[in-house]
Amino acid sequence: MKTLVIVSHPEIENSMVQNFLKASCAGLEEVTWHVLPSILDVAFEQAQLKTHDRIILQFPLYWYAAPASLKNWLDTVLTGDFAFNGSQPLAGKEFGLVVSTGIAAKHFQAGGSEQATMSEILRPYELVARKLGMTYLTPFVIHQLGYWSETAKQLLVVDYQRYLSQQNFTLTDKVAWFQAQLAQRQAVAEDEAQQQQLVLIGEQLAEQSELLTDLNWQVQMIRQEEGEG
Amino acid sequence: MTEENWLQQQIQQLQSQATTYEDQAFYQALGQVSHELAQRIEQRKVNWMAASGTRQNGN
Repeated sequence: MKTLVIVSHPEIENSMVQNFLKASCAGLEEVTWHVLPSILDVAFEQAQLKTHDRIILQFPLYWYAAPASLKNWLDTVLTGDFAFNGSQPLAGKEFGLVVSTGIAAKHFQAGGSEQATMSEILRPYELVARKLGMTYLTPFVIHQLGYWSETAKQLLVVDYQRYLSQQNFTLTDKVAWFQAQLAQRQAVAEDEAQQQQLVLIGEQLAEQSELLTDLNWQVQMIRQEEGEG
Repeated sequence: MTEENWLQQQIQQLQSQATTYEDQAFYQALGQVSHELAQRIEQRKVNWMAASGTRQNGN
């Protein structure tokens, strides 16, 4: 699966969040990091969309919307002739959002000081995805990264990597993603003991995952029998 | 030692040996997903016992 991250930020060099995210995905081979230039090459932008499977729009939230460069990109690149009149070249692909904000999460809820949820604020993008026949992913929202603990930031690195590269978002897929990462580390580990340790961890994760699947199935069967009875 | 404790210990050991920020982050997250799996398994065991108890007792 190939992922295209389209980044819109007016001062990206000075953005702590964008630099953090860029470093976080640097090791992912199937991810293209694309910062929107001031002058768009529309044909290039459209070609990139066609050759990727998961399209991510990434931006800081300014006045409850994306920065101007992303609005310009939407207006210029996603033309009717390209995107939805006649053929739909993006249909069936996935559409995700990575949004950062300097306001705490607790304010984005009914009764909160912002008086709106993130789902409501980002609804126009959901409509864009629907118009294009794309699958809209749950937005990945980062609130006030500057206040995060080191441990929370480390977890964010991996959550972000998974958002860009994990096939689906079930627990089974999550475990599979970690197993694939373990296998990669095992392949490059120089120390034999460490290699063995990585194999054992992978096996243990697989066992746990199978046990959970089996338990889920058993509970489902019991409940189904009850329903039939 | 339980399986989960063993796994956590192995992961912590690898995390302490990690030389890059990305690897440290990976093992931190791996510890969390392992814990999440263990918790889900415990929860499902409770569900299983409740469901099979209901079947036996007929209520």
